[in-house]
Amino acid sequence: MIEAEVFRALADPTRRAVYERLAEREMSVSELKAGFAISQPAVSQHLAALRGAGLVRERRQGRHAYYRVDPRGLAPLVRWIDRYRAFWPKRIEKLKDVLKGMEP
Amino acid sequence: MTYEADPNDATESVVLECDLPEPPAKVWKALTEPALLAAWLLPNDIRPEPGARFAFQADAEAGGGTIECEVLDVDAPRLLRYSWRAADAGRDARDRALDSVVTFVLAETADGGTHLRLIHDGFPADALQQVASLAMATPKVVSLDRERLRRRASPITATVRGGLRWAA
Repeated sequence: MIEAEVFRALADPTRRAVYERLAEREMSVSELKAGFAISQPAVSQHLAALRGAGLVRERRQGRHAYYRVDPRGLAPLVRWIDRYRAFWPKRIEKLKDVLKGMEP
Repeated sequence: MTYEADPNDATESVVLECDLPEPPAKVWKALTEPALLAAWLLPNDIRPEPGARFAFQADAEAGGGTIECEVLDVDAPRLLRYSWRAADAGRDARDRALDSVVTFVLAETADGGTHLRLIHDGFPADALQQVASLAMATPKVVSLDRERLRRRASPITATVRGGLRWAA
């Protein structure tokens, strides 16, 4: 599920930090790495996870790749909460009926 | 319908409140006896004991699959709280990224009925808050009224919705 991927991607603190930095502006992997005490392959792994979840996009220019956030990737978060915003009121209506039918 | 989202609820997510004519003891039964609970929520094997694990068989509306739960707090007939992990949270038991929490608070009303408050929160609140602060810090990413957003009691919802608006 896309929801799970988005949540999982953002649940990792380092990955979230990567995401936040990329929200400031588009960056290359080496620029991005400068702010973190982790290796370039580790940064690349986080980027791959963020891209897999649709949270980050890659732009290639010649031999260079640049990364930035894609805000549309946050939509699954909204869908997740909206599911339960629709779900619970209906169930509470059913609860009222069940209560009416119960023995005193 | 008497439901309202509580604008003061800092954790946001889903909050419903309603007054029921039945007393708390009766409402409690409907929340904690499997057959009664199944009649209005979902098929389940709930045991209202601290630490008890149980599951709901979710229908399509609830996202399908099995919802795994663990009783976190139980104080009959006033408080019931359990974790709620939807099927799409993945199979990795160590991965808590999609855990949320459902809380029922029951209070007796003046006329002997029950004021029921249902809160479904604890969505990866951590992640959502990061997203919120991110959006406030970077207007070019999510275009919205930042000052208005800061004043809101519930910035997370506002931000996520702003994000969606941006995408639309």
